[in-house]
Amino acid sequence: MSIQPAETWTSRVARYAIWVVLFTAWEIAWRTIQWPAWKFPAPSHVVDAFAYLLGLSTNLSGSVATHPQGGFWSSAMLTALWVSLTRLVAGFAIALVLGVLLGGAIWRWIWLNRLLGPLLLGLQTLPSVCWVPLAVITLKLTESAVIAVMVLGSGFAVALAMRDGLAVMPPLYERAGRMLGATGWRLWRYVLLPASLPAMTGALRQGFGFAWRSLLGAEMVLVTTGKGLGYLLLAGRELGLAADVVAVMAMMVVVGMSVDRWVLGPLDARVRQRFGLR
Amino acid sequence: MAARPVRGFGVLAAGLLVALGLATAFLAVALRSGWLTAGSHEPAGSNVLRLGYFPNLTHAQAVLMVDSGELARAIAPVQLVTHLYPAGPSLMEALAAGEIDVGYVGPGPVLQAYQASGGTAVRLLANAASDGVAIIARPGSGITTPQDLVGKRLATPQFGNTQDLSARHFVRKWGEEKGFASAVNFVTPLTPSEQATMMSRGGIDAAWVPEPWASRLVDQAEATVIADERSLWPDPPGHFALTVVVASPSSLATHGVAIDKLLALNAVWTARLASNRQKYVTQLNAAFANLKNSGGRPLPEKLLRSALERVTFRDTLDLETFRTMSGWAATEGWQRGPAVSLDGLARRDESR
Repeated sequence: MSIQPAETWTSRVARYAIWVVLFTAWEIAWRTIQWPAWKFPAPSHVVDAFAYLLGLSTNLSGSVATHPQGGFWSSAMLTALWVSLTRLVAGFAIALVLGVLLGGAIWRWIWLNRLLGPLLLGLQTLPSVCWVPLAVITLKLTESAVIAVMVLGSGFAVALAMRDGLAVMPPLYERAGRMLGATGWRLWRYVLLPASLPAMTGALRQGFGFAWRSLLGAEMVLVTTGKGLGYLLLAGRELGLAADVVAVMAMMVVVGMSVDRWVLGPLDARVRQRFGLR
Repeated sequence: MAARPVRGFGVLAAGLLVALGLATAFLAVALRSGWLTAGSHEPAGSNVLRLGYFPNLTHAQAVLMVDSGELARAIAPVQLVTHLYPAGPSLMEALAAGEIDVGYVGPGPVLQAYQASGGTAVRLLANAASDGVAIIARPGSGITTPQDLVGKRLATPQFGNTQDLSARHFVRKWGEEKGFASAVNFVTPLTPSEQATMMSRGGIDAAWVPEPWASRLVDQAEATVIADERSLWPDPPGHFALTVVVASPSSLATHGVAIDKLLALNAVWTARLASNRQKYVTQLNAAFANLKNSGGRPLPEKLLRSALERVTFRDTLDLETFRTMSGWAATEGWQRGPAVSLDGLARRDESR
């Protein structure tokens, strides 16, 4: 985060008001034009679908006639969210460890960077869903296949972000460390690793976006016994339930934004603050 | 501090505008000349009838009337354009989007589109085939009866297609009987053409598929037939509608004459197949071979003969299947709005 003046209350109100205005306009437009809801839903349909998928009954649109079976805790949306988040944590952890190690290695050994750098860059440009066919063929329809797509879809991004983050680290740190007698693992433990924290949090933030997108893409194409949010989106499409589709998309946005805003953002800010980068 | 005017801003803006104009012009030319649609640029309108179906045995009438050229001749001077789909939800999506006028499809997706659209998206015109679905299990899967499917990975052609709905209904029922409530999670939609490989590698244990996919799995994955879906339906002889002819109300209004000619031909081919289906084995196989680029594949003749025996060709409407499946879909939580009476499903109200 760069230097920003404290947010005034008016701009804060405006920031939330824009959503209200947007959704109200959409709702009014829908009520005026009366598009068929199964082709293009209004916010009220989406809210109803969201509630339905969470096992709750609302009827803002006045077009819901059935009650969801099962309660909130066994609802489709919550189950899918749980499945997706579990996969995210598992897959992202693997991608992070491998990516950080690989990124550190190609930063440390310049010949390795020359050897692998272009390859990594090339693989990173490959959209993550393009890994799905290979994952399905080799790993069949398993959790491992989903995790593999996530790791391959985000690991390279993490590695490159890590390398680039390390590259801007002042070389003075390493020289000072050596001056003070740090060599071998001590140099890493007390100098290089702490100094690479900003690079790591940067890689973390960058990698999360890739991992989350890879996961949802994989879940839409690769159906296993665990049904995540991507699967729920696919189900909405196959059943022609447009409001469900938008509701699931909204959930995906909420998760992505929340993780960045409440977990990774603050972490990044804290690290940068400690390093005097803000 | 007053901002200094940025130099070159005008040039930049003009450049962007020119680029935008060029891009628009290019896109317009590309769309008009069909570069983007790679040769599949097709005429549309009231002098073209767009038919959708699957390269399946259970769509034999469509496969044969298109391949023999009879349909094209019957509807002339209206031109025929055909589209092939792997399963029902994709076809219904195309029908609802106005990409096709008329289609051969299973009752599950028809019901779903009918309910989701409040009864406006689709009209049922005729039956084409009934039955013709089998449950196939991989050797070594330990499945010998349909009830054994509980807790096994069961493939269906597509999420929300007719076999998917049947499979979910029965697996849910059997799972509840065995105290395994989440049994339905083991239903795994997978494109039929990928099922044989996945089954022989142990990625799926069983498949709930229409012909000829059932016979093909038996052939390619050395799988065995566990049950004919017909045996699961109540009341013998237990026929259930499998393939029906549907159209969108708007296409019925604009293409009514051509669609009627198609329905007449459907009746002719249904009668032919019902009286002596084995007579058309060679012709069917040749037709499948012609559909190679759209997922059709010829079968060993012996296999095709046995697969044909599983299908019942009849064109009388069977709304009972729709009523039964409507209840199943409601249990799956697929219907949200007020239940639409199925009485309007087969009504040809061309004024709409």
